[in-house]
Amino acid sequence: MTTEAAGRERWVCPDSALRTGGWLTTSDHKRIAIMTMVTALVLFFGMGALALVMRAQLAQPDLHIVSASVYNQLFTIHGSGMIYLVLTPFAMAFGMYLVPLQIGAPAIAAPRIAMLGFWLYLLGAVAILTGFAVLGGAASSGWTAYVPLSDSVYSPGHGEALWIFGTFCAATGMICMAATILWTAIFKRGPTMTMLRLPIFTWSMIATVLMVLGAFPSLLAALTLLSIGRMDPSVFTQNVWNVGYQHLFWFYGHPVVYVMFFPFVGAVAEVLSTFAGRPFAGYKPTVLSLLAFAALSMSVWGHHMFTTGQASDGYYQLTSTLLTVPAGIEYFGMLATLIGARLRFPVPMLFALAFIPQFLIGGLTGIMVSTPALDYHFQDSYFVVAHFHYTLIGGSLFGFFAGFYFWFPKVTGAMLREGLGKLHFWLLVVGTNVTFGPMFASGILGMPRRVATYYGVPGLGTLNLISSIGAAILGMSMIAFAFNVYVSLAFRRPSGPDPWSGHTLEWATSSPPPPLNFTPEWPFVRVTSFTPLLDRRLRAARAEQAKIQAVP
Amino acid sequence: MPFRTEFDHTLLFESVLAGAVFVTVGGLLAFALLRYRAAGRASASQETEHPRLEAGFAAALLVIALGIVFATRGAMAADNRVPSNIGVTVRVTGYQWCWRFDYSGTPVTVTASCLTGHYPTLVVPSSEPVRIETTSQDVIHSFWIPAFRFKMDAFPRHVSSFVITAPHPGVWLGHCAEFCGEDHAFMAFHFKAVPAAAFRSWLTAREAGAFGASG
Amino acid sequence: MMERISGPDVVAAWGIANGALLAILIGYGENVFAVALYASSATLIEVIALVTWWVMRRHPAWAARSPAPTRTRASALAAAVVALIGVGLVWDRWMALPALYPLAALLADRDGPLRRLWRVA
Repeated sequence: MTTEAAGRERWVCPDSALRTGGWLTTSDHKRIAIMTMVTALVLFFGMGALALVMRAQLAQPDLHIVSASVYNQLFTIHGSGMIYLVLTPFAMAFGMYLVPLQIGAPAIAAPRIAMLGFWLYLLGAVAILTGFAVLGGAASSGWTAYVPLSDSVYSPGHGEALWIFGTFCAATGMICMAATILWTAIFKRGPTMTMLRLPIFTWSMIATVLMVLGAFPSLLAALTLLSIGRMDPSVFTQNVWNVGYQHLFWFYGHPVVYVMFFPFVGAVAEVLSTFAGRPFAGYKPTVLSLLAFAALSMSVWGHHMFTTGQASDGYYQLTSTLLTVPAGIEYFGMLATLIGARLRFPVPMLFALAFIPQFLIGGLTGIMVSTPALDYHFQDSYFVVAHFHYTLIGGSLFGFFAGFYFWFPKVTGAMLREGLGKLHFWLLVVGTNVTFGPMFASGILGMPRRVATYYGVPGLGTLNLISSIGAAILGMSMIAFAFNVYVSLAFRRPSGPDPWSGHTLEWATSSPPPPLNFTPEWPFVRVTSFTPLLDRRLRAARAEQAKIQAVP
Repeated sequence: MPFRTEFDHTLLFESVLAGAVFVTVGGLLAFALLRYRAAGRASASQETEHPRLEAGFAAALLVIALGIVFATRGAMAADNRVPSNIGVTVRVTGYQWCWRFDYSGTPVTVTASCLTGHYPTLVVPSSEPVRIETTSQDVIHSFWIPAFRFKMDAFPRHVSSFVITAPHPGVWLGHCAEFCGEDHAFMAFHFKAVPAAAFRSWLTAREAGAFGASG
Repeated sequence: MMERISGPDVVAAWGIANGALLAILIGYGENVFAVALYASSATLIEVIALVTWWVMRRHPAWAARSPAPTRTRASALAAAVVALIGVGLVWDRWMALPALYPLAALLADRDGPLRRLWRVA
């Protein structure tokens, strides 16, 4: 008890009312995270709307709702936006908000760098979207911006330049945020919080930010190469730079898939274990597998280049297929947590449970596209589009919503509505499968991706019509979500500090937490494992039991 | 070269495997959801570590992963194998937004205007290995014949090649698979296989036409 | 031993895992460009591990210090500089000139990093 009190003095600032600045000059990690999240949510709806226009165009063969040039801008900005401006910021916002709370830190390390990250991200978003307002329109060479297509000869106009600048800023912003999260997790843990008592979500963030720091600089290098090439187009008359750009891009482009995925795996693990009423099964194997997963994911980028005929296909197939080992261990942990549990089914749990089979479809088809003999056909077809939407929606987005519904009460102090949440959930399940399931078949039939229209092959019209109907269902699910957030904030139902009987430290403090997270009124809890609050409840229950037995 | 058979075998193999995994995970999930609902249970098990089981499981996964790589390596090797009896070589050049086919060793060139709906036809002898060399005049394209389950990117200032054999006479639709700018969606072609004799006479006639045109 | 593992250990181990994968890549005879790319990334991770390890050993109190600066006006000023430079890069070079204003404000900012460094020195 005395050591606990002495420890507390060390990390809880005595002046708990210390100001953290207004919103725009805040140094509070929670506010930085909220601003990032709100920006990303607004963009999420915008990018989704672009996708609905695309699905309208593709609902039948040979439709011309928008011109080919506009269609190309739509899919470019939809892809760039969702990856650079929505899912990566979602991931960083989760980490920015939760890591300091989960490890018992009063603040994020280097808040000015973290806030600079937010500003650069916002600036990047504004720059990329400004493309729609300039002559020639927004960037239209895909989120990958392969050279020489994206150079100044084939993509003149300011849209492409704005895209390069915006992407550079947004990626730099994410690096800034990732660096502060890593520094915080390493140096600002509470006194009894050792590395092996970190919650699974925090571990998933550590793996995530390591990938950001190791891989995002490669995107900056690719964009720099592209900028040089736009000033001097003769650069891209050399094959070495054309292929080199793809290496630089995919060295970033594959790990980013896991950056957009890991935090949500962590969220799913927290949600599953909370509503199973027990610690996540296999803590150490899961932590090790997260780190191994992240390391392997740095080595698989060449599987995007099988059809270039200029990469070592054998190696990239080997490392890509080996990803099944850590992924399998994580699945083992999830199922082992559920078996023997005492399961409750509020909305966050529904999203977390659906994540298991939905992401599995993305993962299993991932083995297929990383097999060269299959990828020679699947590459750049709708099969790939189906595959990565299953990973990014079936995996990332289901995990994101699990976390969003789970931590929303902590962030706002209000509960999200259960009924609307269930409507949102079921529409999302149906919409995801109706939209992306048929795309596997479109791809096998020979529909290339990134086409403004299609014709010729029998069956494509029907499959695409089903996909478009599914997209409308996805749109409705998002409306239910938006309405739920609005209703829950406008007519608040207070959540209290710990509405779910949580396991980790963020549930020990108030909702929303005070500026410096833990105060004498909301003290830090002694950490004995990666589920300190569960341990405390069990200790209390045992003490209660002992008391009852002591009274004969 | 035997792209389609290799593709079909590999896809069948991996689909069966994927299906088995999906059914297993789905079954365990359904079992847990039915058996361990809060309503019927006083408390949850607090046991978390199963080191032996986890280690065995990881080892099994490793064996399966290496098994997949090993089992599908043959397919990749077969796709990339170059037979010795190649008779015809065609240089395929992609450009914004159509294709040009140059028959090596002859002055024969085939092209068309994709944007007006006239797709060029790549004529090859059936049942005979044909070398296709892909390259580009401007940006990156990709030469894809979905029915053959194969594509190869076409890079500017770089030549990639593969060998393809049409199993029987016929016409198949091909398409550019790498996004190449505004009218990418319209960049298609026909791949037409004819009996060897018919191919020779077609080539001779085109050759005469080409000389006639230039002379 | 596992229980005493530190943050920098994790970073270093992760970099080494990448190094092992890189060694296999070299074994497959991948081109120099790809190998150099992966090597530079693994090196960057090891540099981060070394820096954090050194800070943990030499300046643990500084690294854990809380609270950090209470306001982040400097971040907004720095972003404004970047935004105006971006306008110059995308349209015309001279349009970046107004970036000098937020830059001056950033240098003069009471909570800015420069003034803090000055005070330390």
